[in-house]
Amino acid sequence: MADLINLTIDGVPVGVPKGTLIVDAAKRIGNDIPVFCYHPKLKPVGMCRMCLVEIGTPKVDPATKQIVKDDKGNVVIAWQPKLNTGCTTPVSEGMAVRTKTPVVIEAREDVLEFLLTSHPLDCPICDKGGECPLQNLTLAHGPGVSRFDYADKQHNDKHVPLGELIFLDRERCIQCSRCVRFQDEIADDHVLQFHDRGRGMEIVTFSDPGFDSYFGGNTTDICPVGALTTADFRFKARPWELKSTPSVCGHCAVGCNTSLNTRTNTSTGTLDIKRVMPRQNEQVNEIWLCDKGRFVHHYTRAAERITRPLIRKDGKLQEATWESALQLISDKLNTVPGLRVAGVIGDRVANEDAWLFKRFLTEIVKTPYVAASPALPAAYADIARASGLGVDADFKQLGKGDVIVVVNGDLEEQAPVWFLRLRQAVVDRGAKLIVAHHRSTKMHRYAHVIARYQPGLAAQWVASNPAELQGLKDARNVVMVFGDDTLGPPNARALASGLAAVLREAGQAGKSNSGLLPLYPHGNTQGVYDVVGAGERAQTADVAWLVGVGDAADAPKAGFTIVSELLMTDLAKSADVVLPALSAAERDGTLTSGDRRVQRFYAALPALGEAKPDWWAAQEIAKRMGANWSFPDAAAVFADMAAHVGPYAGLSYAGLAKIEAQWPPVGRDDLYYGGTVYDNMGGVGARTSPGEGPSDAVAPAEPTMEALTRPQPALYRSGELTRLSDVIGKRLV
Amino acid sequence: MCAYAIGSNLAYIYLRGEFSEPGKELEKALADAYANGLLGTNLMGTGYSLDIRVHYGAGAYICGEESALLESLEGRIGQPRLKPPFPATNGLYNKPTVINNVETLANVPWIVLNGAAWYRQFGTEKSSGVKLFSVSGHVKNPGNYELPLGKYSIQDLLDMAGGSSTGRPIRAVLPAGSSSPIIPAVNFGAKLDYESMAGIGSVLGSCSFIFMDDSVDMVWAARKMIRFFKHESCGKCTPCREGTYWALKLYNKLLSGEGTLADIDMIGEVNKQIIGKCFCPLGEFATSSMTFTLKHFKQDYIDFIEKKKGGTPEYKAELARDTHGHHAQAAH
Repeated sequence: MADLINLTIDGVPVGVPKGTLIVDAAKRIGNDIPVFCYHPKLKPVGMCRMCLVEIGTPKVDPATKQIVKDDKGNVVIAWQPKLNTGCTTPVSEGMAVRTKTPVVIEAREDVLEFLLTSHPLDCPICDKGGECPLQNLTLAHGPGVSRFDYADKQHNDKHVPLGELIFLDRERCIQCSRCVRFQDEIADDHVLQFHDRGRGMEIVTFSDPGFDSYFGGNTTDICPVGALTTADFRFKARPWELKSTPSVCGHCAVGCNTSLNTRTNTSTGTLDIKRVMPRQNEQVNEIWLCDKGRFVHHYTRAAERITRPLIRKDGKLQEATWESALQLISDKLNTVPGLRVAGVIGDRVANEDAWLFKRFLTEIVKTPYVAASPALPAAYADIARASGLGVDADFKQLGKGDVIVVVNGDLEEQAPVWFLRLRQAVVDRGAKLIVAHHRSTKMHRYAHVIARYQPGLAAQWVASNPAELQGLKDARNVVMVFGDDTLGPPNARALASGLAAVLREAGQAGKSNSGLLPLYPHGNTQGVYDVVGAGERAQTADVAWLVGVGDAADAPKAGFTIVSELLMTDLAKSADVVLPALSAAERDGTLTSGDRRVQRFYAALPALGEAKPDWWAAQEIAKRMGANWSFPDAAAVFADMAAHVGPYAGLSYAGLAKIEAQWPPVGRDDLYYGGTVYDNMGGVGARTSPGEGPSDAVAPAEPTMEALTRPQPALYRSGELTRLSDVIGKRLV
Repeated sequence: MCAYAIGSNLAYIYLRGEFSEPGKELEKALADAYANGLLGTNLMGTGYSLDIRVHYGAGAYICGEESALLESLEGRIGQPRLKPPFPATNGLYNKPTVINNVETLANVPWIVLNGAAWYRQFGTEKSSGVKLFSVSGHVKNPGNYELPLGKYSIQDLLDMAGGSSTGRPIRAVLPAGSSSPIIPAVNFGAKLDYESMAGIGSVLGSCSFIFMDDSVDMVWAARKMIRFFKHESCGKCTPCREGTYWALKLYNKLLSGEGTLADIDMIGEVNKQIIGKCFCPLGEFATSSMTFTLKHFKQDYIDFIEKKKGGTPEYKAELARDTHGHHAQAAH
């Protein structure tokens, strides 16, 4: 690259792009300059002074303006008289940096000794202990002993609740402001600030409820000490006792990569999830996770979980063996000729479940009635796929010259981490934002153009060729985010097709970073649709099988109903047979995100009771009905799916588990975060190609009362798994 | 004129909050200027408009640092900004901003009226013009003295202020408040200009001269200054926030009578540990009181230990005031 800046750090030459900071340039050559306030995802502030280094630039003769060289022809370096912060100084051509000289080493010892004068030495009982940058950097760079009189230590409040989700230990805080800056720069929820000054300076929240943000949990990850802890994890385990299992969050269409941290409970012998942490995937969630993804895991061990098959006897559901339940179902399906069977597959289940059920129903049962639930996204998922982002699309590339259009969607409520990333594309990198909605959303704060229409008339607005959507031809790329709020299936489809048409007419279709981005309700809406397709929906049936169906409206009226479920939902309570399903924490599988990235999740916990993966139940009954199936594990089911479902051709579990180096490095032995759970050990997944799809125009229809009166999307909508969280209860809407 | 030159229609006067009495005078003067058409819209038919607003700070020393002043003016906590960018390009509300000390601006009308040559007749080649000297401490006539630079010595200034108010000999002077290197009386012959003051290892700075007679113990004085800087440290950077806290603890130990000779060395160490590492000049200024009292009056420290000067009822009362009084939190 022509615009690389060349410098030397401790004599080692390195070339980095213009604008790179010294600490980041050093990282490129494996030189970890210690930092506390600096974080590669935040703007530099230079507060903690830990990264002080010697900086010099080529000496220039004031008379000739020429660079001065010594006898041997080497460039003479003019060293700055004082140490300077490597985290705030951008590199310049010919710069020389010294990071290991006595004066630098002494400065690090000095700053660390200062930081420790106020820090309590409670590492043995601190939740951060073991993955703490202050602990690690003290070992690496600190003075061996402190000369500070322990009796002089200032004691501040501990266990200060910043709201009910995040707690602050004011003694441990080293005033680095990472949390304040995260809230200001990334989340744009200005709910934290410093109060008072000097040694009295402390973090306060001034929102009601306290720390009112969907992203607060991230501050506990980036806190370089144990000052910020979550209500979920504090006092629960030591980091080094935890086993980390890669997983994927299934609560919205983003597909954030997570690590499930588990530990054996020595008194019960069970394995428990102690916390959910973000797992770095720069293509998906960087290192962020919304609080729903972080704090909602308790449903995996909720008392409401179904642990054994249930069969209705004498009007009551009673526990039964798998054998009797499987036999009852296969008898039911096998013995009655001309039986009308309907299958409905919910968008929370894994691809493997959806695929084997679909195959079972169409191939073995030979019924045409297979449909996806909820019905609404199924009305437009084909268009969303075919006109979606390209395989190589990268949110980080979106910026100046690009246009982001959000129509009828509430990004923060429906896809929180996409909100963070698209907001940064607009606010930090200069993309143009057009927002159209019938009400205000947080994204409106950053909009360059705002359009409004009556509730339910989003498709009509797009079809009217509005002025706000003119001129997209000139854009470098156009990303169109859309949601189905207040729309019924016909209008949701009309909106998607209308937006796809706008993309085509603007010459944007087919560009890698252009396309539709659907705000699906769950983590595998696209995957289930890819498997099921448009399907055929039955209103009535002799036998109905509902796999992970949340909405009772999607269930056909049936003489005999089978429900595969995690929890005793209303549908499960009225079923004839209930089969216990496994949560994503207890099994292997894949999910397909809203931008069509297929990602693996791995079993972190043993099965609860006798629960089994849904695909297993489908295979067992298929076998009883004469099928010659033998899929030993999820990988085999996925291989079968990849061989039959077009967009998944060529994908394999091994391929999806491929690890790519993440930049900036923020995990493992890296010192921005002292632990290992950011580390992406589960694979970065792969985005499937859009493929071919319909391009016919769909005319908008009249809005319906059903659609108009539906509750508006909200992250903490009660009645879902969120309800079972131990900590998020107060924030339910 | 400055606002006119840069095409600004809005100027702020940032006044430390405690200065409410001078503030009233200032606001009255501005009201007069508005009443006489010197401020407001379409000044004297030129089409140019200018508003001046007085903003009272919340009482923070650090808000004298220009970027902390801007933060405070914008309603945020008074902490200095990272530079670059400098205020000239990204200042108040991220707009290009000129920031001047009021004393600088006070010189402008006379230069405009009389010309630069007239102004340069005062002072020396390198330190031209006149300066306001604010004299306080053990002098008979404390007050403000306007003098041409380079003409008079420190001793002259002391004499103009009537000499010692206590009858005891003057021992030292702080030429620019507690942030400046203290000057022992032996150097009072130095002329009051920038280069002469630099020549004796001090500065002219704000010219707020605090004279001290020989009753002043420099350990006590240094503690007083460190306490001030500890109280005024904004807390943004580690060396200033923690270093002033630690240093005050050490001085408190000396005053309480529990100090040892090793504590004096420790003060020197902590001081050295702050120097050259701070985010803004305040932290660096805070070290002057330690550096230069140790340099010029080391014997005071040694005597303090060896002659057991600490732990007197006066000192104990003073420490108790800090711990339990108005500044309890700050001195915690």
